[in-house]
Amino acid sequence: MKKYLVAAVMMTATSAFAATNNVGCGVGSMIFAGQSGLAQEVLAVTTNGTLGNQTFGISSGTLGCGKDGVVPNNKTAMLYLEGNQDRLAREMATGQGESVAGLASVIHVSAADNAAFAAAMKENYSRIYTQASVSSVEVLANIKQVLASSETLKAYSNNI
Amino acid sequence: MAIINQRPTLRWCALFLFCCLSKFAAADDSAGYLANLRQQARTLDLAHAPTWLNLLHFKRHPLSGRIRSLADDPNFFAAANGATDAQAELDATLAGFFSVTPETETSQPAQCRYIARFVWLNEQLHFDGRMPRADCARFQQWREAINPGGLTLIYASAYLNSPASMYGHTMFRIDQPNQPSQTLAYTLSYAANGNANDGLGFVYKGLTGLYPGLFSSSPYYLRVREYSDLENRDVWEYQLNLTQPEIEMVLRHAWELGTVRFDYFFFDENCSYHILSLLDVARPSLQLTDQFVWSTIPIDTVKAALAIPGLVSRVQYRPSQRSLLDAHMQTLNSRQVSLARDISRGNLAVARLDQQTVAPQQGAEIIDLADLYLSYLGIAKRMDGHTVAQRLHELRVARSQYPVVPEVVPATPAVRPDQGHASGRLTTGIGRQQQRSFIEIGYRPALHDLLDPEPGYIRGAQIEFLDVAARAYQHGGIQLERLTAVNIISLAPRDTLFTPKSWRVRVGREQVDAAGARRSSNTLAGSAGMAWDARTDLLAYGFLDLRADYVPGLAEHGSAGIGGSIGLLWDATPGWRVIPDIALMRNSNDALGTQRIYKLASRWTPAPDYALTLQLSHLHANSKDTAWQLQLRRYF
Repeated sequence: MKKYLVAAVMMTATSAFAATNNVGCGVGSMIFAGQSGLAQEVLAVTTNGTLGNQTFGISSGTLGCGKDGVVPNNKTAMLYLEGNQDRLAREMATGQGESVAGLASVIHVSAADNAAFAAAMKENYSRIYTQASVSSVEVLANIKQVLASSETLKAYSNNI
Repeated sequence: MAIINQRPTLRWCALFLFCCLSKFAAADDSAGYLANLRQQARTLDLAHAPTWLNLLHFKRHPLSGRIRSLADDPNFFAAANGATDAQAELDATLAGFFSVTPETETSQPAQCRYIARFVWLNEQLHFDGRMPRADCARFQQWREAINPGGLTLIYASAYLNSPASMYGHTMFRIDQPNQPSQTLAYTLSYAANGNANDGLGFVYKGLTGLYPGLFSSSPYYLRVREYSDLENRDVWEYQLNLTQPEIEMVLRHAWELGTVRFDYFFFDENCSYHILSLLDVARPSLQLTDQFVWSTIPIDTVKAALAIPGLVSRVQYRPSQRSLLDAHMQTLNSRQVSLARDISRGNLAVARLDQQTVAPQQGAEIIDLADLYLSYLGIAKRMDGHTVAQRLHELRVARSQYPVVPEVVPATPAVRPDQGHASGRLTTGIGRQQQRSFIEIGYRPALHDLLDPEPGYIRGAQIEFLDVAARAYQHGGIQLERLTAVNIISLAPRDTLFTPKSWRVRVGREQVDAAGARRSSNTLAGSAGMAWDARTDLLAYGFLDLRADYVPGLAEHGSAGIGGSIGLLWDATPGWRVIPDIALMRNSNDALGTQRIYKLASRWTPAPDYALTLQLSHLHANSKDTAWQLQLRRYF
């Protein structure tokens, strides 16, 4: 069976295998995972999406910024932002969603202030995402400013 | 230790002697205690306890019957023959515990390196003060950051329009007590550590165990992004009902396995197999891995967990971005969907949406759909990253001025992937072809074809591996009807937003009609085409077909063919599907000639894991033939 599968794969273009999937710690790259075409289909069979380059090998030391496979505390918010870029921006603009709630929890916003946090993100969207290409570092700094300028959320700006 | 002092004074000599003596005394003490522990372990026969064997990943080889460890990394064992001798490994492990070396970035004392073994052996043998203790700071930090409070089995289902990925993928999520967001929990995953740049070698190595498989952990939100946002796979989360000590055991054993290499085999020793092995370590009575000898299909491991009463306490659905997009699409009318499409494609400036006489509420919903669609296009269609980013930015700035609208939540599918028909299939049939009656039996280890019951699988998607069937003809011998290596069909319907291509590919040995006789052919066939959802119960398709045949039984062996086909998938009732199909194929080999084939297939589902099919076909070529077959399919 294995041999036959390889044979099936032979028919497919090799260029598809160049597709990489690098979401390392501190890398804000956008990934394009191609999803159409036979080559990708067969590739999906064989790798099953298990090429987790963005994972942290347990006890293999540092791979990205995590030691022994966990994210250091001082980088949690940063990595969360990196890992959720697209989703987070979309949800912030709409004023609700799981990723916004997740960000709130990463910077220790209390449950009572979650709604106010989401509203502040939406209201100040253009202050946070000032342009199309903005780094996670800037976004985090802008969020800090937005929080600092809010009466109710001021205290949380110190958590960034 | 090198002695550097040239002339030590008598005082130093005495001190040195004293140190040595006390050290010898301690060593003597340790040696005695070690012997004592080894004896106790033998008395209790710990080397053959299920937990010990699970910790070493010992399994009986299905062919040789020999018991050996599946771990392929000599560093995983304390004894040189640890991979085959559980008793020797236990003796060596106990000896190792007495040497508490300092912990560094690259090495750990045996007590930390084998922390699950240490804790379990301590529970059995009750180590006393004569056993030195290491504090295992690295493990403790790791455990603290992960903060285990629960365990959830995560199943990533198929990509949309991607039958190949129906195979699925599983991992663990380690939930934190009172976690505010699931996405912040860590996952434990077993993956082949391959290099995609190896090209074809990458595939070959993945199948033959030449890549090392490794356990790794990463925050769940990175996984959600990978599966849900980039690959558009729905995810199912099965919360497991384990005790805290069992969860701690999983974590400790995962730590032991962190750097251990297991050769990765796609079909059996894969992600799902090793994830199950962690559960066996946590609770040896589960014996989950013993159910999987030849192949481990991820969804079957989920089924195995669900089959254990009380093990799964809750099932949750996490829709992919594409499922979310579809749900958004259903809340809007066709004009609104078109507006969203125009915005995404840059044909309508989002700032001019308010001139389109839409209420703010609807405007918000249109932009939300446009956002999801544009993100999808950016990834799936590989649109220019800069253009996508710029347009998304404008869109989101505009969206933030619109009101908050109720969140669109896709409905949980009525049938979960684990509730679909079982992966294996046995068939028995009777029929008639070329004026000869036959009985046919068939076996297919995996996974699904268009005539099999569809609930739990993806509509219009087929993937078959190693489908084999043999026929016994009346007044004639037994004949191999087919041996399919792989047979994949993707019927992906097109609509306002999506214009996917449909395709088919088939490789294997099958029968061809050549001048009135059936001949064995080695066939490679591929098709490209399109499909449309005419109604919710009706899928229409059309294909351009190419095929290559090698028929040893013909004077001229080779043949190339080109043709076309059209057909329908019609679900007349939920349990009754009908597939009419008309195909025309022009073959270069005159013995095969130009063939017109009319087919009508029908399937009825009388009971779960059973199906009854009736297949009629009429061939119009060098000769004519009408054939039929009535078949009972049993899934197991």
